[in-house]
Amino acid sequence: MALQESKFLEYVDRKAIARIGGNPLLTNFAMEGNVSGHHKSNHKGSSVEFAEYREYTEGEDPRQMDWKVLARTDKYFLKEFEAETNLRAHQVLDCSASMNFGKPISKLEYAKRMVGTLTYAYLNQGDAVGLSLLQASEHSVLPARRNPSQLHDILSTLGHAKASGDDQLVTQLHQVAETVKSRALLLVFSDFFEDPEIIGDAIHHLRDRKHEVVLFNLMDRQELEFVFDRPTRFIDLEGGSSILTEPSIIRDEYLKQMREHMNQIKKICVETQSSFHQVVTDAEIDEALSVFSFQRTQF
Amino acid sequence: MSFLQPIALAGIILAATPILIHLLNLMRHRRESWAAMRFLLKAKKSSSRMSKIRRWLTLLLRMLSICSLVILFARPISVGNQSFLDLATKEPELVLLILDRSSSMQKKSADSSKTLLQEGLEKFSLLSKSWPNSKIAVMETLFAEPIFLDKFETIYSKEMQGFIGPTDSGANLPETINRSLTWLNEAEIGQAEILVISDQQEASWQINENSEILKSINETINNKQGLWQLGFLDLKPTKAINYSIHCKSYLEEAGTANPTLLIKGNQRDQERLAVRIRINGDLLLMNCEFTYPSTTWTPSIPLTGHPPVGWISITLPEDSFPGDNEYYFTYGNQSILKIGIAIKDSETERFVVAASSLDPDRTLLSKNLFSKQQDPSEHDLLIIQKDLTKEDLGFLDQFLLKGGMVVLFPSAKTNNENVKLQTWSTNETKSQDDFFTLREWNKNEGVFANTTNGKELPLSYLKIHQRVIPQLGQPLAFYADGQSFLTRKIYGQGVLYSFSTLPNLDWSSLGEGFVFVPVIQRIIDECRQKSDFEFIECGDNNSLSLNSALSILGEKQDKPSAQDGIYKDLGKLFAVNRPAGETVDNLIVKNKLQDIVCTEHASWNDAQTATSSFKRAEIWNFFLILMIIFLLLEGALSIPQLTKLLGNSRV
Repeated sequence: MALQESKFLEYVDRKAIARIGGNPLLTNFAMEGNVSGHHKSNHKGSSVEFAEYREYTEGEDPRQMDWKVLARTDKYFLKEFEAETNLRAHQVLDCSASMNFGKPISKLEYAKRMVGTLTYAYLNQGDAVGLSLLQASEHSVLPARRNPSQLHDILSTLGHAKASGDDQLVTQLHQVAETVKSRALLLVFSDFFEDPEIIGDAIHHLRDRKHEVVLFNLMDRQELEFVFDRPTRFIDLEGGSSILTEPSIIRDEYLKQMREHMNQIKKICVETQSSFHQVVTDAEIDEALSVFSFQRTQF
Repeated sequence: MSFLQPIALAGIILAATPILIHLLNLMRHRRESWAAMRFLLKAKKSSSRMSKIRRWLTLLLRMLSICSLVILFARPISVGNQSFLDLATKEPELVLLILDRSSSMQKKSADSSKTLLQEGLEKFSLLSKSWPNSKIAVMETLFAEPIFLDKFETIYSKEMQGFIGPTDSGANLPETINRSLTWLNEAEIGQAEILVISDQQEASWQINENSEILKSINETINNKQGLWQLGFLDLKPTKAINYSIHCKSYLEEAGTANPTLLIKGNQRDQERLAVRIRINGDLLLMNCEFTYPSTTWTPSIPLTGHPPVGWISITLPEDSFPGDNEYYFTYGNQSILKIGIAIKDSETERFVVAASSLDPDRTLLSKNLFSKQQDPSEHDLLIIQKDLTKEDLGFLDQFLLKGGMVVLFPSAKTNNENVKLQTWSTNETKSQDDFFTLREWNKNEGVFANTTNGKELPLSYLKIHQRVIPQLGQPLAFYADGQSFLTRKIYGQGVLYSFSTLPNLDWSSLGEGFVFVPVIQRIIDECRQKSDFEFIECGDNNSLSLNSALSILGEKQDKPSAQDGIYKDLGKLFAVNRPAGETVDNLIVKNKLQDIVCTEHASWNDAQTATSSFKRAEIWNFFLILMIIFLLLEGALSIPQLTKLLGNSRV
C-alpha cells in the first residue's frame, strides 16, 4: 500500500542507511561526472592517486611537469593522477501490474523502499540521482540531479507511483538508454517476467551507451516456492486471463521454468558485465541491499 | 475366502472417497491473483504425462488402501489348505459341534467372565460363520443324538436349552466322538468340520478305559484323508476360589444321618466353611474346618422331628463355581420294597403272602391293592390274580411303562380284558392222577437259575393239573410239551412275569414252595435292584430312566438326567447328584491324548487364539499389511516431490 505524502520519508530505510552509509557505493566502470566525487573518471585529474608518466608535448600545462625527473634525466615528463568524479545513478522502476503481487508487502512497495534508500545513499555521497517510472500509460522521468531537494522529488514521485497495466519494461528500457545521455549507473527494479532475449537486447542497448547496469529482480516468496494445498484458479494480474490447475502437479515444472528464466537473465548479465541481484520481498531492506553494498565498496 | 462380518463390506463404497474428495477439491478451488503467469502457462503446457499417471496412481492407491481397511474390518477368513487368494468356495457339507455338557463346563473361563460352555459356543459361532452355506449339527455328550440347526443362533433359543444348555451330568467324550463319526458315516457326509468343545477334564476322557475307542477315532479320521477335520478347542477354567463337595458314603442310625463327605478346595489356606444343611427345607447351619487340598467331613444330621422319609441337601458357601457346592440325599425307609397284592384265590394269596414275607424288615406287603384306601402307584411290585377291570388295566399299563414290576397269575377272565398285557390260552385240566411236567428251563440266569451252591431248582418234580399258557413274553421254563410255564415280558420300562398255573393244590404242587418261594424271592430281588437308586448320578442310566420324575427343589422342567436335585417318582424320593468325576479338577495332559489321536487331520486350538488358528484362519493381518504397503507406495509417490520442494525452496 502506498504511503501518505507526509510519510514518504519512510521509503528511506534508516536501518539500511546505517548499515550501508559508512562506505561510498562505487561503480565498476569509470563515470563522467561534472564535479569531484568518489568514482573513477575516464579523465586524469588532481587526486592523490598516481596514474602514469607521460612525455610532455608543447602546449600542455607545465604545472603537471615532474621537475625531479627533469633534473635527473633532462627530459620533460608529465606526472598524471587519477581523476575522481561523481556519478549519475539513474533508477528505473517497473510499475507494471505484475509488481502489485506480494504479501504482506507488494513487490512495488518493496522496490520503492529500495529506491528511496539508495536515493538517499547516493545523494549523501554527492552523486546525482534520477528516476524513471516504467508505466503503461506514461513514462515519468526525473533527470539525475545532485541537489538535496532531489530526494524529496524522488520520494514524492515514488509515493504517487501505482502498479498497473502490461509490462512495458523492455520498450521503456530502450527509451531510457536513449534519453540518459552521459554515462550513468542504471539501477533497474523489476520482476523481469518478460522474454529473456528481449530483456537481453535492452541490457545490451544500455551497455552500448556505456551505462553500468544493475538489475534488482524482485520476487515474492510464494512465486519462488509455489506451495498451494488445493486446486487453484490463477488470475493474471496483467492480462486478466485465468488458469485452473492442481498446483502440486505442475509445481516441479513451474519451478523448472522459473529457474531457466532466471538463469538466462543471469547469463546475459554476465555477458554484459552487469550485476544481477535477486531480492525476496520478505527480507529486510538492509539485508537485501547489504550484498549490493558489499560489492560496491570493494573497489 | 469368506467373511465373519460381511456387513462391513458395505463400507467398500468408501473406496470412492478419494475420487470424491478430488472432484470436490476441483469444484471448491481457490482464486489467486498471480504475476508469474508465463511460467504457469508453460508449466501446465509441458506438465509431463508422468505427473498425470502419478496423480491417478495416487488416487488408485488410496482407494486400494480403503478397500483393504474395509476388508480387514469384515474379518476375512481362509481355509487352511486353501490359498486365501483362491476365492472359490470349498465349504464343508457339515459343521459338527461336539459339545461337552458336563457340569464342569459351567465354570467361569480363565479368559473372560463367561462360562466355558458360553465361550465354547461363541467360538463355534465364529467358526460356523466361516461357512455360511454349510449345515450345522450339534452332538452333545448327554443324549449323544445329532441335532440339526437351521442357523447357529437357534442354539440360544429357549427350546434348545434342554439339548444344549448346562447340565450337572458327566461326559464321555471318546464315546460321543465315536458316535458322531459313526453317524457321519451313516449319513454319508462328504466333507465335514468337527469341533470338540470341552474343558478336557480327565474324567470326560478316561483315556485308559477308552483307549480302543480313541484308536478307532484316529483310524476313522485318517481313513477320510482330510475330508473330515477334527478340531479340539481347549477351554481353560478360572483358578478363582472354588470348593466342591461329594459324598463317599452314607449311614443312617439312631435318628441321625451321617454322610461322609469329601470337600475339596483350591485355596492353600485353612478355613472354616459355613455349611448350610436343609432337611426337608428346614435350615441347619454347621461349620466345617477345611484344610487344603481336601477334607473328609462326617456331620451328624439329626432327623428327629422330621418325617420318616425325606431329603437332605448340604450346601457349601458360594464361590466362583456354585455348581459343585451342593449335595443331595434321601433318608428313611426307602429301601423297604412295597409289594401290593390283589389275589382273588385265597389259597394262592396265602402262598404268595408266605413267599413274599420272608424278609419282613425289607418288604412291606399290602393287600386289597385296588381298594380306595391305597394308592397302587406307590408300590414297587404288584402280584395280581383277579379279574381286572378296564381301569385296573389302564393303571397297570402306566405302572409298567414307568418301570414297575408285575407278576400275573391266571384268573377266570384272563382271556378277555387283559389282552393288552398278556394273551392267555384256554384252561387245560388233567385228571387227578395225571399232570403236566416241566422239562426245560434256564439254569444259568433268571428266576430259575441254579442256587449259589450249584443245585438245581426242583422244577421237574412239579405236578401241574391245570394250566393257562401265557402267550406273550420270553418263556423261562417249558412244559414237556413245549408250552411256556413262566414268561417274562419287557413292557415299557417295566417287567411283566406271567405264571401259567396257581400255587393251589387244585392247580399244581407249586404251593409246596420248593420252586415258588425262590422264584418269588428272586423276582423281589430283581425289583429291589431296579428301584435301588440311592446314589443316582446325573446322566447315568438310572437318571435317564427317571424321565417322568418331578423335581422337588428345582424347576418343573428339570430332569434327573440333566439337573441334580431331589426328585419324586412313583411316590419315591430320589437324590440325583453330579458325577464324582466332575469334582476332580485334573485336566487332561494334552500330550497323552495327542499320542493316541495323532492324525494330521486333528488339531488342538487354544480358546484365546482359536479364531486365528483354526484350519480356517482369519487373514486380516494380510490385509493390514496390504493396506500399509499401499499407503507406503502412496507416500513414496509424494516423497520425491517433497525432496524437490525442500531443495528448491530457497532460490
